[in-house]
Amino acid sequence: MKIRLILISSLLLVLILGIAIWRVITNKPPDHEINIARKMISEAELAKSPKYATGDYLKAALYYDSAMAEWSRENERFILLRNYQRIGFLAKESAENSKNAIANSKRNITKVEDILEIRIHEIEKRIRDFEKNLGSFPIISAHQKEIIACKLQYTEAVQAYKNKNYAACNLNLDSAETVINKVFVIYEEKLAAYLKEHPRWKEMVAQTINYSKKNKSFAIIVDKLDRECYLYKDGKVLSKYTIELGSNWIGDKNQQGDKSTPEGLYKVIEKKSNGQTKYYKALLLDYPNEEDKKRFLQNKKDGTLKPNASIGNLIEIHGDGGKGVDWTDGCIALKNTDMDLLFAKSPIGTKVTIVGSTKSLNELTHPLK
Amino acid sequence: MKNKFFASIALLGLTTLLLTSCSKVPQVEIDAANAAIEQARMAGADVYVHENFVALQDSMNVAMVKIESQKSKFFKKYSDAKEQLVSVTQLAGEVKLQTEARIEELKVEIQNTIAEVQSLVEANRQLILEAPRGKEGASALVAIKGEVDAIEVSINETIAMFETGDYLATLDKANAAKEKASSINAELTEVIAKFKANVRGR
Repeated sequence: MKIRLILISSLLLVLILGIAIWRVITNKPPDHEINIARKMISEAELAKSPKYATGDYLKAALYYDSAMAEWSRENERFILLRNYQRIGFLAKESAENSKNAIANSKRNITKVEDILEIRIHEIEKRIRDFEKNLGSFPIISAHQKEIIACKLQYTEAVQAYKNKNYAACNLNLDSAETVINKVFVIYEEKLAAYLKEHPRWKEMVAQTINYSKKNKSFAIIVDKLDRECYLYKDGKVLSKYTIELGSNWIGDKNQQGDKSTPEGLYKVIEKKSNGQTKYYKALLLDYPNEEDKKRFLQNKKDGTLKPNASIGNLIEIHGDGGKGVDWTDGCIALKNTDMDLLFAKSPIGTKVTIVGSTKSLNELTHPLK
Repeated sequence: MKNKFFASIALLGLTTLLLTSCSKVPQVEIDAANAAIEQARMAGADVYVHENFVALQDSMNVAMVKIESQKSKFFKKYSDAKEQLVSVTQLAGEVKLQTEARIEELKVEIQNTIAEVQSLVEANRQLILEAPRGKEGASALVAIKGEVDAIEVSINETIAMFETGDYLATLDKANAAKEKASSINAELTEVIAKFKANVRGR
């Protein structure tokens, strides 16, 4: 009896131990899967996934946290009743999402970099185009300040891009773009309004060229917008010179001191050599012509000009140019070497036609469009 | 015989109980490590020494995995995990120090850059006074003066930004102002030099 009892107890003990050992062997804790998931989460963070692949990263983190929480819960249970299968599944899901997060983050970073690079170039071009095509416009002080601030913000954006601070880069580009687009629209409209006079200018230029052709004479055409002065002979362009004007060059001249260069049909009435002018050499024009006088009187009559305004005179084509800015009081300035050439070929009586632009708005290869 | 058998079973049971209950989860060390990591994060480690902070967090995760791994076993032993946690706490302290050092580095760089820009602004204002006057220079100088004023505004904004503690963005802004101020300085210096050379040549 005693021996039977001992035998049965021993068999039971062996059975229980056997089941326990089998359970322990088959129900392995998910160390391996969890460690893989842990490493992948870390890599995902280093790849900046929280910022650039937020969805995938959050899923990975959620699965990992769930796996760890479930592991902890299972570990509270009696050892033989634990089941780690689901934890292994959660850990694998976490690792998979981390893998996606890494890949998507790298792809998105490249996309962001590409987009920002394109934006930086576009805005740089826009600023350059504005300076090239509209920079010579008389720009009001408030807009000048905005443009200066815009250029500074662009520089800040480039700095931020270099340091991979893409969010800051984007914000600065947004600000710069808003300003440059705004001033573009404003001054583009001003340009369009100014170029409405083009048909009249075109006729004046054609008239002058025809005269030069018919009379086999020299003629000068001044294109204010392009800052070019063309010397014609027998109706053909002989040479072209870069010019500088008054700071308020846009529009016609209305009165003395307005720093505007007149538009219209003129002629050379006097040639001033070296020593006769403070601007190297000069060709004096017959401003004001009859049209200028008529417009001046009308402006006074309708109150556009004050009663004591003076029409002005002494508009010349002269030297001392080449400064790169509009600096005259309304005259047309050339570099001295160019002035030498123009002076030599412009006898008294040479027709001088000054227009806003020899090209229409459409003809101007406008980078704004 | 029966008594010896039951005594053996009882001894086995007691030994098992002792071995399994002697090891407790090192909660004190866990709490200390978490607190240290939080301190590092509050110091800005995730921003200023991001990679080191990620490594720190990973080390903590390693420790927690070790703990759960031991909890999974019949005979638990937390000495390895405990050691890991102590190491994490120490590492967190180091990361915090690295963060503080990096921030100090940035602050010095920003302050130096601000001082440089302020000096350039003053120099540029002086150069504007020396620049050739005359109709041709006037409008260009007005534009340059506008740019110098804008740089001064920008540097004041940079100083305000510095106080907010966003040092990376502040440094970018300061460097942008410096680049602009330096370019104006070079332009004005060249113009004045050319003007002086022309005057001497006459």
